[in-house]
Amino acid sequence: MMICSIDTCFLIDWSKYSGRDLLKRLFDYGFVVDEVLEEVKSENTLAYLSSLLAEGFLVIYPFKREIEPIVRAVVDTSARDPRVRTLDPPEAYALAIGIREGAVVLTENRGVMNIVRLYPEFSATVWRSYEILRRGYELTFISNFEEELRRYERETGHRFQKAIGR
Amino acid sequence: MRGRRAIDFRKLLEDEESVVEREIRRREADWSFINSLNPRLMWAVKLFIEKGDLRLAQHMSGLDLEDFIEVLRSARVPVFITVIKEP
Repeated sequence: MMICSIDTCFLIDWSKYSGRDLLKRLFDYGFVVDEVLEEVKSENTLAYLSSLLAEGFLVIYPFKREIEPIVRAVVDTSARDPRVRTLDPPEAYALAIGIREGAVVLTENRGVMNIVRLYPEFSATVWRSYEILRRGYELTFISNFEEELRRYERETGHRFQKAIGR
Repeated sequence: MRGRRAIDFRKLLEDEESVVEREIRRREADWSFINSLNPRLMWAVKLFIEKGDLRLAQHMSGLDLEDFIEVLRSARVPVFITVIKEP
């Protein structure tokens, strides 16, 4: 069973994508915390979030108090290490759920990516929209990966840039 | 010290993605729009362009996350950039 944990930045970006139902084909359900719900304000993101909750795809994480020590450790570590951008509670909770439940953390936050890469004690699978689209392509839900990336850019304003080795 | 260049240790902490992302933000930004913003917003947007730290810049702006993202979009600053490293 594939479970995801969603943070605010991911939700804001992904909600603008017309192929956003891909999420429901890749995951059985997802967790979200109330910090994320409180941050969402625009009509588009609210409508998407509301539909995911109404369909039962998104569930408010019920064991929040139990993961608070992980959240605190994640935020403390991110604040101390200049290689990691300091995480705010919505991202820290999303990551803590990923660590605790084995859920794939969906985020566009570089701080989350870096802390997982640098600290083995915060081990979790982290996907951005790029990894989700790639997974959708691997499972043949997407026929042309490059074309889908361009479509995602057009619809969301996201940029996918190939790295040039320095 | 004459004849010797100081090492900027901040650059050692920067990965390749950060450099690529900053170049894109600088290039695509509407600088005349940014410079017309009130000082708090203007410096928050400039901070985001330089550092790419959305949360830090949002806190500086004094706005909610989605409102700050809207300001960035109005300033033509790409908010989310993924640098793809191919094997």
